[in-house]
Amino acid sequence: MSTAKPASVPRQRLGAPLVLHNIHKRFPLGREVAHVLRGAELTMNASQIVALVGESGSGKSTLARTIMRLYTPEEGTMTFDGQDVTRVQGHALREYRKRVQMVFQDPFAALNPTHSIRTILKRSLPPGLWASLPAKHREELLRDALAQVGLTPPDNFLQQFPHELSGGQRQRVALARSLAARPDLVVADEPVSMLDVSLRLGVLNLMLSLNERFGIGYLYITHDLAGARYVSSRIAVMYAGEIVEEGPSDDIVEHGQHPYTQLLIHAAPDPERVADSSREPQAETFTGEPPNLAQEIRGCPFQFRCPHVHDRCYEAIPTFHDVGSDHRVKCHLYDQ
Amino acid sequence: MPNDQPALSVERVSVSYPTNRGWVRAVRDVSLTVQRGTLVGLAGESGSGKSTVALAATRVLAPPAVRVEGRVTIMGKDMFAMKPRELRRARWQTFSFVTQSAMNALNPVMRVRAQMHDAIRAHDPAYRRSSADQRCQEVMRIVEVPVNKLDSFPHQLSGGQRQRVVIALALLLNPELIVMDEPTTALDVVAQREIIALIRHLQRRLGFAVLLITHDLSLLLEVADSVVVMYGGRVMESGPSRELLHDAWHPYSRALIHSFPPLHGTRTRQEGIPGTPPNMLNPPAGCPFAERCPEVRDICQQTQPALQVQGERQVACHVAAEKLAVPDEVKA
Repeated sequence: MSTAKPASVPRQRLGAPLVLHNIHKRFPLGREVAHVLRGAELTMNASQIVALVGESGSGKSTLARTIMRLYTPEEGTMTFDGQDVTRVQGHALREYRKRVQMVFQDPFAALNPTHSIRTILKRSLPPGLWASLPAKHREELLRDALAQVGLTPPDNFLQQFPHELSGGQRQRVALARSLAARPDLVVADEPVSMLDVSLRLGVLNLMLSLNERFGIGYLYITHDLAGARYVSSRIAVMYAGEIVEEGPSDDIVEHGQHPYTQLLIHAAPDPERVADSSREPQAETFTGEPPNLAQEIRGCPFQFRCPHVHDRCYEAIPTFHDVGSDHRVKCHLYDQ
Repeated sequence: MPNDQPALSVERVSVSYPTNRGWVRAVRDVSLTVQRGTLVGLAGESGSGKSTVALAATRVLAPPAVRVEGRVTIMGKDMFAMKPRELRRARWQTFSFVTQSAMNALNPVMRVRAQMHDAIRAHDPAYRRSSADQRCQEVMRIVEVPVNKLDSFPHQLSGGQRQRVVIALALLLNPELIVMDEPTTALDVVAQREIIALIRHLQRRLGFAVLLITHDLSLLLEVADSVVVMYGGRVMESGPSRELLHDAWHPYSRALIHSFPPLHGTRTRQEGIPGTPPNMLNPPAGCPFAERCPEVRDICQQTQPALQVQGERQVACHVAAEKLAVPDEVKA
């Protein structure tokens, strides 16, 4: 059985497709209801790295947790590898989670402080696997898990506790743990935002190399557009609970079509832009803040901030339009 | 007062914190200057000592909580020689401070107006209720927050508005220098852009100087006139943003700049910086960056490089020192 050295066996499979259709999720908020996901549509292949970009409050994390089925959507369907996983329970849910894993934002909170790294990794293995292995292979399995995320020599780390590791090392343990079940897809919710700048690139590169070597796909959730472009082949832009634009990463950054995407590009720090300070005050063309999700919005959710707003935006919710190969946008500007 | 006096001058400042293992020097021999009306960025990772410099220089941190050596002047006044009464005068009128996580810097049970009055009453001997109220309205207009929000509690404001109110608070008594410690870290990209544009705009219009502390070097290089890069409690390099961006001398600055993927242009694999920052409880004998430096030499492990001055730029690196043709002056 090849489970003894899973890390060294490259997988030659085409990624399983994850398809989200018209996902809605609401949360009670006192007497009101926050309608956080409003018909989110996302299609990705579990061998790709796709970045999900948006402001805080746009519903990125809620979408991630819905994909993990930590939340169950009220409306819509979610299929993975052809199977409907929107409402599966019990055994089927566990099988699904074996194939789709998650890495959380805060590596300081995601690891149990009372367990050694050995225990943390051991517990993430599929049920029964540990017991079925001879002792020698068990050790090897754990060491491989650490080695593949660059924590070497692994023997030092196995004995340690989370508080003994730096933030970057902890996030690597979290990544190693997400890989232990040999998933197809890892949902990574802002995995580097709590790390020091000098360590961020290391974690992003690790994701890239795991993708290249083992074909593990990532849904990389972030608000950093430059980082998103760096790791992903596709970018999906989220606003007020919907995906408003998606396409190949370079297309999105260079030719973002949705006014919101353009706002994000404008807001991203870019040292090369400096020279002509005449461009600075332009920031004021965009005003306002994300809409209150506890209120129903008529028409396009971006109408309150959009510099190109026109009559139609107040009346009808825009639908997707193709604006290039594999590039689509939800905006009334592209109606014709 | 002569006009060429810098707004803030930090000369060879070291700061130590007491721990149960004795004094730990979090900041060593740091010098930096903020000229009047300029925006200087102080960049570094967590633990590099950037906040400690700012807190010590403005005497927010004072003995016995810390031990400070060196000299700091703000608008020509020696900060460490000031008596408590003078310090109270200088605060808000000469300099003000926007703290880290300014989102939480407001008192949650006081209305914005009351907090502003508090600041004026404490620091302006000529405080009068009506004129203070007028000033509150003025600063709210300056930071583009509706004046009626003066009667709001902080939780009724959005994150961006709260940050603006904290900046308004710092502007109340027209200071010459504002020290801002990570003013945008808790904010979203879009709100961050607006706040930075606002700071830059106000700084040009009202002419105060800013020391802006952040870990986001790509942001600093875009907005600051000049940048000081700290690592392991020391200044690694400083100079005009433009020059640093395209021609950084210190391997750490170069590595840090390359840690931010570019927004445009071709995509290339970037390497980041291997290893982790030094533990200040047990600082390395030589250059603090030696352990992670791609160009490390034997000498780097043994002796700390001195800060070399060349024109507007400074660098502390053995390797860079060799490359610099003829150093103007070598500080002891």
